[in-house]
Amino acid sequence: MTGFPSISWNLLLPQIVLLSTALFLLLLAVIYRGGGRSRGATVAGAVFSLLGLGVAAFMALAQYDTVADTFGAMLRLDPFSTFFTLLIIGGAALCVLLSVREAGGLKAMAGEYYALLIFSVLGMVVMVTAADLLVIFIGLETMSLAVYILVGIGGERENGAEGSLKYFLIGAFASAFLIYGIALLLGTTGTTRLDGIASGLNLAEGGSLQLVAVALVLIGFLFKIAAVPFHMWAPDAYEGAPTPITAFMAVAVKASAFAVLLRVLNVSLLPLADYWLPVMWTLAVLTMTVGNLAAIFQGNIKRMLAYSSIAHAGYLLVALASIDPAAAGVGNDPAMASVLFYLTVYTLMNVGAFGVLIYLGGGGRQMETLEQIKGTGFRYPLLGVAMTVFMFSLAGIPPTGGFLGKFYVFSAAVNRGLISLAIIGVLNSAASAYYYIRVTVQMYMRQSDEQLPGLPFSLPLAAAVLLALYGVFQLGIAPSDLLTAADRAVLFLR
Amino acid sequence: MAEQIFFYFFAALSIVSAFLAVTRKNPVVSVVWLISCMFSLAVIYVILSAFFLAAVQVIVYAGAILMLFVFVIMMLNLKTGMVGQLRNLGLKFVGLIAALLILRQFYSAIKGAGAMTGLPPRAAAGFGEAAAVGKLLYSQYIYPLELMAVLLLVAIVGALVLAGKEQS
Amino acid sequence: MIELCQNDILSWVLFLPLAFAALLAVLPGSAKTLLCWTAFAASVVVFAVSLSLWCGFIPGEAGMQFTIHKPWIEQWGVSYHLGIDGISLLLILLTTFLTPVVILSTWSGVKKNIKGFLILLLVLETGMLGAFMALDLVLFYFFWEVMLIPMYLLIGVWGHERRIYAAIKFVLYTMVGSLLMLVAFLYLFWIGKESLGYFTTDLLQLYRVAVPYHAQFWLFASFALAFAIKVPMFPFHTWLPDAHVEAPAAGSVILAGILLKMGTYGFIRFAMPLFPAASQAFTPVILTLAVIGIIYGALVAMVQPDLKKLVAYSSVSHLGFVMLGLYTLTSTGVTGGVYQMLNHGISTGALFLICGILYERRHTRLIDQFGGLSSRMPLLAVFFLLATLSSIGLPGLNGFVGEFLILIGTYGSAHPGYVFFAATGVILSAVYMLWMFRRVMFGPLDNPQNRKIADLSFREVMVLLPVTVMMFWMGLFPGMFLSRITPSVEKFIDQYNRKLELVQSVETVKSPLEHRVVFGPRGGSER
Repeated sequence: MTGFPSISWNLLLPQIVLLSTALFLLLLAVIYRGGGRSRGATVAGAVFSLLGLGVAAFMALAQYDTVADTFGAMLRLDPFSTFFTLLIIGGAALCVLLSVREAGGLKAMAGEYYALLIFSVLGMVVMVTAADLLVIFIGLETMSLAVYILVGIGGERENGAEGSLKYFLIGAFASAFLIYGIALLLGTTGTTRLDGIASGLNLAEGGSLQLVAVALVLIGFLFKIAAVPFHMWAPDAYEGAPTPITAFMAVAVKASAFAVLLRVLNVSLLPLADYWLPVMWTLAVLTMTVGNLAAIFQGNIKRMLAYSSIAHAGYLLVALASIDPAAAGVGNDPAMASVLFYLTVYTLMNVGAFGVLIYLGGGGRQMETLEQIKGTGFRYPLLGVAMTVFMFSLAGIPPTGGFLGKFYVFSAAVNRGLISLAIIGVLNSAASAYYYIRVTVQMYMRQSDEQLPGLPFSLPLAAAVLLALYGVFQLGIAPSDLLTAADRAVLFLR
Repeated sequence: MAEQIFFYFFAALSIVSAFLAVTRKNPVVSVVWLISCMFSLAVIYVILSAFFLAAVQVIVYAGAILMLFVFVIMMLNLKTGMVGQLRNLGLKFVGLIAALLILRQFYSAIKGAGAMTGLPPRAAAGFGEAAAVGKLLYSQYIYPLELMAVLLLVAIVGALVLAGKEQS
Repeated sequence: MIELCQNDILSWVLFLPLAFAALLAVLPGSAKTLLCWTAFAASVVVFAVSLSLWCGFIPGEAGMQFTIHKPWIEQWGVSYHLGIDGISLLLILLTTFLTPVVILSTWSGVKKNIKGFLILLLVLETGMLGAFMALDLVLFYFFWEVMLIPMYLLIGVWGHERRIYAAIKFVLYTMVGSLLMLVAFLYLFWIGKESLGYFTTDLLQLYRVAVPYHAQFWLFASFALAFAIKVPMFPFHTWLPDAHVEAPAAGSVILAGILLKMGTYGFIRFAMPLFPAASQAFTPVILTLAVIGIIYGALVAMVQPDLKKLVAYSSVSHLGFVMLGLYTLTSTGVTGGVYQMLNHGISTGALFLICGILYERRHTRLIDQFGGLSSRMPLLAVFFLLATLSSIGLPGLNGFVGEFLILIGTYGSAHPGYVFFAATGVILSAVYMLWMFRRVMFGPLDNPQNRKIADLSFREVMVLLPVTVMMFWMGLFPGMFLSRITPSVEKFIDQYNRKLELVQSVETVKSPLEHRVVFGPRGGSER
């Protein structure tokens, strides 16, 4: 029992690379002569972060086909974890590109900023690779702690501190739920290992204490994906955070939380599917509806995108509510694969939308509310087109990836006979079209009250937006490769 | 028998202290009751042969963290009653409902577990001592332990970043 | 080599406009003349290429021709499947024919950002062509929604005063309908999978699926809702006057000329042949709504003070005729309905072009602002009169053929009574159109602003001339068009009736599907 576990170090390579990158970045301010906040330090930080992320992604990619356990099955490397590792690293890399211009004006020094970003990526990678609730918890805390801080360092923003504090308090609350749930599961099933929990679940003996435990664990994760009614922190945190961090939270944090949720539901909690499927159904409806309705009334685009990301969590919950326990048991469930596909598309279109917002703000004029972006569509034609594409993709209109994502999710729901859920979903989707389209209305159909300044060219921002644009079209027109990868990832999710 | 008396006494004490900690209006008094609650829990850990955990409980919670609480409260100079402003009726109501739901669930859970007869069987010799816990931590749980180091590092960096003054 | 080209010709027609749009995107935005000529030349090239479809089309054959079938998203059984029959052939030609006309008409009307305008028109053309060619439901939905974006921007950016309201209303109406249709698609695929044994989204394969009646009912209802909004049929028409009035002239022409046909085309290609039993059950409802549309549209048109609104409501009336024709389910009636789709595209397109020409000169659409224009604009008067008469259905012009066939078809169908209402609609249309024409063109020239108004320029004549030629051609020689439509229509009716019998015979066996549709939350698998 206490024997030292065998370790396959090569499975840990992506994590080791990420950790070394983060540690190196912390030293950047010391090494770099121009001072921690200089432009040079900002660029150097971004370059090293990208380098580290790139090497980590390469390591992960090299192990794409590996299915192996290590550390006494605390970690499990399979195509599922690799898929999410790559998705998270990709999303984070795009956010690094978005950060280059912003990171100079923040409270933190560039090295610290990027280091925290990479630390949280490390936490996420640990989360999606973990096969033990304890490890998941520590990964989640590493990620969360770094993100709490990143939210609060928004330079002169007055609401940054509020958002950060709110996020931290509610996040701590969620962690308490999670650890309590884990403790109860350990007490009633005798293990924190995901596969062990599945065999340890026994409602006849464990009684409703096990249900309490499962509920607490799920609540902990639902906080992280900002499902209604656990979403209160999201709008404030999103609005107060520096915009690249908002993008990071919207995509990477959500993706990793969904990955863990999928793994826990599939590996540990399938025997209880009868209990949590209706819960997911209800949460999906609530989350979609509340998110969309609230988004309609927002004047601030970041806040609007915050509510929109809540609504998208709702669409993803539709997929979770459509899981077929029989199919999921043999790794052949379209509902699960649809989550992977949707999250990828979602990452790209969100990063793109935030990227355009950041780019628009580069002219020395704040561009965050619907009022402020009036008339920008024709003034900055390429950004206008890009934003339009991202908005239409978020609304789920072809030929963008957003359409196929929704198509996949709702087809999974219909496949399970959940017609009413699919109908509620598409009606929500129609309602969401209203506020996404309003962005294009402001950009193209209204005139600005004042002269709009020229925007300085920024290579990293342009690269991020173009990559996202390419991805959104690629997934909207030729999604086959990603679909195959998603199917394969789910196949090994045991 | 003596153990049983100890258990019931400290279990009751911890519940009463926790209750008082939540209900006192003066924050300093609340913290003192919280310390009492933590101590009682530490005693219960000892009864369960978790010696290491009991020590950690006293050092970390009753010692470090609660001292920090008192310190912060002194620094902020929180007056009696200020805490009361934070509460409103709606929140109390929601809290009450949630508490009742959880109580109900626990009740049925405990009831389902069957009647407790006496104390749980005594643990094996050496269980719960620092050496045993350490062995476990540095072998089976080495990976989470190392991760905890990263987590603490992040916390330190974060504290520095947030507390740091902006450069002019 | 030629044969290779022949095989892919649909793809060429489909993506040429998109390629030209990309070309326009790299041209400088300030070179207006260059942009206009390039776009015009592009659309003429597309028309020329599409004419080869007409030449290569085998008139007697009812099935799909020029088919292209390639895998697209194999995991979902989605394929890139294109093909046309007589019905879609003519709608495609209508599209490629109207686009150059519209582009030519916008040269002076669009004041700002003409580059964006032309690009959107070409993208829109690809969307419309794709929707007419697609033989795969996902592919169809793809193009169906792709049309939405350019049209929304055309209305919203280049429209008139209340353009934003109209644009958003247009998008939301269309989206609600089409998203419900999407759910119906998904449900249909699933039924198809249970019945065929494999997952497919191919229309021709789904035609073979006998959908159980209770499912047909809901599926048809949601298909019909999406298409009825697009047509637009009576209670779902409220977006149309707003969109038409606020859209720029070119937008109105495309909207009336082609986009509305998507709705009726959707009925004849998807809703009716896929779910004949439900369609049969809905027939009285649809016929009633169609005649209400005919008469209501005509009555409302009669009292409109706004020229464009009048033409918009006349569209509601005319599209009611088309629906009536389709639901006669007789060869004559359906052929008439299809023919009327083309007629309406031509004649209403012409009317909207004329509205645009008048608006460009006077910046008003109110009928009482005009009067006596014929003395100042004799050329316009001639074209206007012909368009008006074509819209009314004067023998010798195109409108007559369609309306006549529909009326005969209705008389010979199972519901001859509707002929009475339809004929009333014909009379009413003569009343409001001629009255409108008289108020605009004749009478005293009492508005001083109309004194200096200029007649058509050469470019504007070139815009109206091809449309007018088509009115005569289609009116005098309908045979060459009808010979291509009729076989496809007959096949449609035959298929419809055969499937109807099939479903009725299958219906005695209780469907296993009945138990699987769940409304509401539920847990776990069925055990």
